[in-house]
Amino acid sequence: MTSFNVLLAVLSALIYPGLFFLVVVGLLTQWYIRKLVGRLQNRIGPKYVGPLGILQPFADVVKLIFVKEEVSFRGRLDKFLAIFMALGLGALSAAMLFTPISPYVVRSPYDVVVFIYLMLWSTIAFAVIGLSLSNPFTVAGSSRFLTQILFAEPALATSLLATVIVLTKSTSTPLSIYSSLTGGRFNIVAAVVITLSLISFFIASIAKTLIKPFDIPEAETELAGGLLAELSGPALGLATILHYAEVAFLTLITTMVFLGGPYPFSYGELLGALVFALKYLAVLTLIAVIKASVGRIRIEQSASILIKYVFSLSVVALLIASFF
Amino acid sequence: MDALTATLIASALMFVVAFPTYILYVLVRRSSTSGSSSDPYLCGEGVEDFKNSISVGSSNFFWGSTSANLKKFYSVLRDSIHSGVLNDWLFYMGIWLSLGVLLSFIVISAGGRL
Repeated sequence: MTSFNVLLAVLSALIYPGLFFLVVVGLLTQWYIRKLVGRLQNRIGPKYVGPLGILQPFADVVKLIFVKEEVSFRGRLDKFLAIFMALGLGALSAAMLFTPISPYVVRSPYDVVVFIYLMLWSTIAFAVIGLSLSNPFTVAGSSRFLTQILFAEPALATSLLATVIVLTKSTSTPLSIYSSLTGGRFNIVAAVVITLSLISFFIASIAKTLIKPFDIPEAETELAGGLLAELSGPALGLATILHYAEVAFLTLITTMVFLGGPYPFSYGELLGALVFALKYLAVLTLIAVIKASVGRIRIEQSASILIKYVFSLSVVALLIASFF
Repeated sequence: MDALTATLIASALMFVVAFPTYILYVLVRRSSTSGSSSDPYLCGEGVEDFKNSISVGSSNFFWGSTSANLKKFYSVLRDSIHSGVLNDWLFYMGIWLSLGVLLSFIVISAGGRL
């Protein structure tokens, strides 16, 4: 690598489409979901900071990080959980570099395995949060989170794998995320596999990001916030950023991999960016409607739904993708 | 690039982002953390030996999946397969062995193609 490439890679990871981009898009995503859920429930939603309250999530995070103090106590592993949250953000930022929207693209045959590995880090971070705060609520939340993730994460990985397999079959770079997003082979089998994988990936990503009806690990009325019950100040700010960066990341991946990204235009075109943004907002709208209209389900119901209808669907997609 | 280089670059970039994020957290936090550490708050009760009293055993982490979803599976394994009758046990082992043979056939035949 030349020094220019190194600089480009670092800037891509730190600014666009890495950390800075993910944080900004994540907080705007939070605003959109909060505003829409508010309107759907006959509330106003965020209103005061910025036009239509669009800067409210930024104000919340800035207040948490720079103004609020972090209450600490004996037996709590503050820096340990911060390391994992930072690694989670780093992994999501690095994973964005596998996509065509990045100026510096990391691409190789079979890189989908690395991509899935990077996607796992934010999950590990949230599990570690609960386990490093010695409180029954956080441990119970963490336990539920791990139970839910036990079924959601394999479904995410399998559905992504199935789609990438079917799109990069008999190309020169098999199982490459970049190739599947730019030069994928589309046919009737691919359409079936992508549809099954889309349903599976979408529901699993809602479960992974703890959005209703899969928010039992952080059930506020029952577990006082579960995983995040003991967090305050900068740690809570960091957790909020990580959570919404993850929501934005998974929605971006849904848009790019399963909905064709800027199709019928291509990456780099202005109309393509517009189509991409509309698809992204459509996915977010669906998430907000689901969040506003359903109640919380119990942990065994959540595990049962995930294994019976979501994971099995992704396995079917993987089998079709492998044999046809 | 090859798969190894891609893995190394992605992991390195992950740390490139994580390191300044963590440093920023430590710098901001140092100026705002409240004094010395205190005891955890548990419903207003003072807890002396809190490490033992409030931590949950690691075997309980997957209670949701084991008690809710795998209960039927375990009960089938325990009650109808491992009933103490030799024929049941042979049937159980036979299923696993035939599954193993089937899997190895699939792997070998697919290996010829790949």
